[in-house]
Amino acid sequence: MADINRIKKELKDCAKDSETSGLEVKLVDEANLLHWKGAIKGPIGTPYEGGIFRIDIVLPSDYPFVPPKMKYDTKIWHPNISSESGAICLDILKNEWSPALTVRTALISLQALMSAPEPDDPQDAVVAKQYKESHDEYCATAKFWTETYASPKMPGLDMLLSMGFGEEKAKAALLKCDMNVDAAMEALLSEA
Amino acid sequence: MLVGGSGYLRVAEEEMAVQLLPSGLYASPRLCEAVRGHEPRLQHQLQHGAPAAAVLADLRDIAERRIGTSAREALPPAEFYERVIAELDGLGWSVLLSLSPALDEVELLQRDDAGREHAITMILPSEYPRLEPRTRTALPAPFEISWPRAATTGRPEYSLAAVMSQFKRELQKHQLLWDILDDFDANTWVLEPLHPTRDCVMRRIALSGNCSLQISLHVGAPTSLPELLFLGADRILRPLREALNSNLGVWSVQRGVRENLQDVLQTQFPSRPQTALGEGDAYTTECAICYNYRSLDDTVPECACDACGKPYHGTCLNEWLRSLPTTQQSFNRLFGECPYCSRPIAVEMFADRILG
Repeated sequence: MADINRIKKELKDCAKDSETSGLEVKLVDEANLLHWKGAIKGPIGTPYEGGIFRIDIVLPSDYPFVPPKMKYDTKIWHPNISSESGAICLDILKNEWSPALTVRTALISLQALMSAPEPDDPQDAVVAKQYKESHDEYCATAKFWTETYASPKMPGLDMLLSMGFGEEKAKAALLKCDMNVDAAMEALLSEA
Repeated sequence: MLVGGSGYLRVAEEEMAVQLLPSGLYASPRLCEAVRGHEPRLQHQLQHGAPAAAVLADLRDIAERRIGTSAREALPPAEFYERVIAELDGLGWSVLLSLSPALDEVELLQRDDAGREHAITMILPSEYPRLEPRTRTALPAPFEISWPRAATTGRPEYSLAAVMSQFKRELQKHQLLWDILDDFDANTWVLEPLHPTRDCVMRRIALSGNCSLQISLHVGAPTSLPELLFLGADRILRPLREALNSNLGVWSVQRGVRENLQDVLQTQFPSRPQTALGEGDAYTTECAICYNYRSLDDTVPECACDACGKPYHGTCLNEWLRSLPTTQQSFNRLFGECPYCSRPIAVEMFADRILG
């Protein structure tokens, strides 16, 4: 049986400094203490800056003796995170876990991982190869993915919404037209 | 069934609904009726963490005894009630704390010289005042009542007033003991018991560096050196033990136990922090693995890392160390690393923890 008290205290601790730490967690369902959703801000000075990355957190029944299971819900272009599934390659979430760590410290480690990728221990080989061989291209892709998938708001979306287009359609059009607002508008108009 | 659960209890061929919550016990009306008068004790057991199974077994025993004997106990005669009411009139109703509906259980309040409040419960047999009432108190020593004897017949005369005056005299005996205990409660950080009753002469108080000291006073000689038990990391406790051994001559029965202890141990006992426990608190006493003070099997964090002082339940440390391939075992001890500071730590092996 997972320790209910520890989990409750961890939740409380996470809530305490959510404004300064750039971390946020909440329960998916108030009745289930073992399934959390976390959100971390992309570190400043990285291609992930400006993005909000959502993390799925599942605490196994024998937590804290085993690490929490974490994966990215938000798509991200990063050598240590699968661009397909969001699976994370990070030692403390595997054999370097210790009960001295918490969900909060694990999320901070993820933030650090986003600042300093480790391409020699990759989760996504394609990204890792790009990171090592053509770094500029990696930065551009990662930035584009951040803007596309992790931005709290898409640039130009407000404008399209104010013109009366539906949110779903406007987002789809923006994605299709590489975030070019004019092209997206034209596409939406021609559709209509 | 665990605390927090609900279910049915089979009493004398009958299923009765019952629900156990940390806040109390809830049962069907018939079951409530059957255990009437025993609620405070059951409640007390629950609040002090007695295992649910034991509380339920107790509950069933009581209920079966009442329900099983279908012939109801004969009601006491009318004189019984008149007598009880008259006695309460005499004592003054302000001292009455509680009274059972059948008037057979009376809880009265007595103040000692220092103004501390003490409760005494008297259970009156239906033949009262011909038969002796039973009393229940929270005193550190047994309380024997010597009843006044009637001049003519030589038979003991039972009365509530006699009990109350003797109770008051009995309270005098323990004034010094309670003064010392109150002094600990007010000026140190008492970790255990959380809600001390007047019969409890033990206090576990916080020391610096996650350590604690369990003090058990002697009821007969409260100002003498109490029984001491040091809990925590040896690194911090060793100097205290050495100070205790070399300074025992300083102990003076004329002074308070707290002052004596502080002088002998050459330390100041930290007082209770005003704010709630936070991260990085130097006196955290919760287990650093499960974040609880009391574990599921009701132990306190009895292990501590000698290097960083983090406290652990032996069971938690066992479970963690056993999951690591680097942990060594020698006889019945496990040798591994502290989860926080990675320095060597050893713990006695426990049998497999029963997971609830």
